[in-house]
Amino acid sequence: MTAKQNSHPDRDQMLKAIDSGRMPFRSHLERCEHCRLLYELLSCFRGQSPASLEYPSHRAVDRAAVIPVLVGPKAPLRTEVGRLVFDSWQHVPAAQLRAASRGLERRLRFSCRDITFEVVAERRPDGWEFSARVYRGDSPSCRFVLRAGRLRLLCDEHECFFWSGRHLPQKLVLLSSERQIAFAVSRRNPGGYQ
Amino acid sequence: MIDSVSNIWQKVLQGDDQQWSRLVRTLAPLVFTVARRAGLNERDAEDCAQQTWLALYKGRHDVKDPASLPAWLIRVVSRKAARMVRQRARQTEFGQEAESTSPTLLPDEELIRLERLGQLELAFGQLDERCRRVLRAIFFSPPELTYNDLAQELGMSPNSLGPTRTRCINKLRKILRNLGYL
Repeated sequence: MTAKQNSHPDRDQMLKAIDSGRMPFRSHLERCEHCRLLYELLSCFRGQSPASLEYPSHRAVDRAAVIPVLVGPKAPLRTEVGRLVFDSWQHVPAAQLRAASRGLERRLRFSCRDITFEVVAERRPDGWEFSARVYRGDSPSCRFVLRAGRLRLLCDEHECFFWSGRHLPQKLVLLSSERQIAFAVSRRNPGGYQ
Repeated sequence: MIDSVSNIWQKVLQGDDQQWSRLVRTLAPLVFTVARRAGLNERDAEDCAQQTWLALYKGRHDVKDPASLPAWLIRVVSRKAARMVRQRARQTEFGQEAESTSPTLLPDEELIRLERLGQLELAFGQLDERCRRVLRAIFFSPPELTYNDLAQELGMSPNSLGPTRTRCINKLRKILRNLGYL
């Protein structure tokens, strides 16, 4: 930045003055509020820069942003209801395949306005293991807390929710500070799986 | 309209979750940076930051002065990170895999420097986008850049840069005063 025609010191001159501890334009600063402000702020910021900070991932920030939803009592929000758009158990495979799979896995996909929510349930000897994910733009899973029964879950580093239980949940709820979306898990079971 | 940290914090205390989210987004880089400087890898630093935010939320009614928030966060995350680094070092001794580096505590001068950076970040976060761009250019671009260069970079006419700078500096100064920075 070059010096102007008038006697205002430019930024370079101010930085030099700050570094050297000598201020040849002291009397100007006493008269000129604008330069005084600029000098004051440059003194504060000298050697510092916001660029010195490191930035965490969107996922990590989103997880911290939903902490009130995770731990606090939630203020009542209007509940949106998601609809089931796919249920692997409602697509009955051929009898032989059905016998082979024995309903060891169930895949569900829900939709609610801009949100797509997928759940995979896998049968284990002592119950079920679940994984779920929200799809929509940047780290959408982590913008929500998932309520599955009494559990409140945050997404993991792969932006998935993981949990286990003895039964398939009848209802899953995605919570954020602005939204509450409920998904009912259909009990219809045309495949006759247990 | 620029909302002061005090206002944001008051709303957080009244249960406004969106203001909490706003606060987190503003100060998350500061908390994460302290954890990283303490020697944690990215994943551990994110976990450490998460624990710190959780601690702040649970103890939010104990933080009376919003201007002390960056200092509070730095103190807590620094302690948690040091503990985590020690744990990782012990795991390494027992032959488990660990990516963390030197298990040293951050010196006080570095904590103070980070605290000032945090307040600066907080102040910049409260400026409108135009002022943020102008002031970052004024304060942090190389001294050899001329006004015309800066104006061109900012997509402004050289004549309007001066008045905009003055207006933005006044806003920033007001915010920094609120934060106790000046």
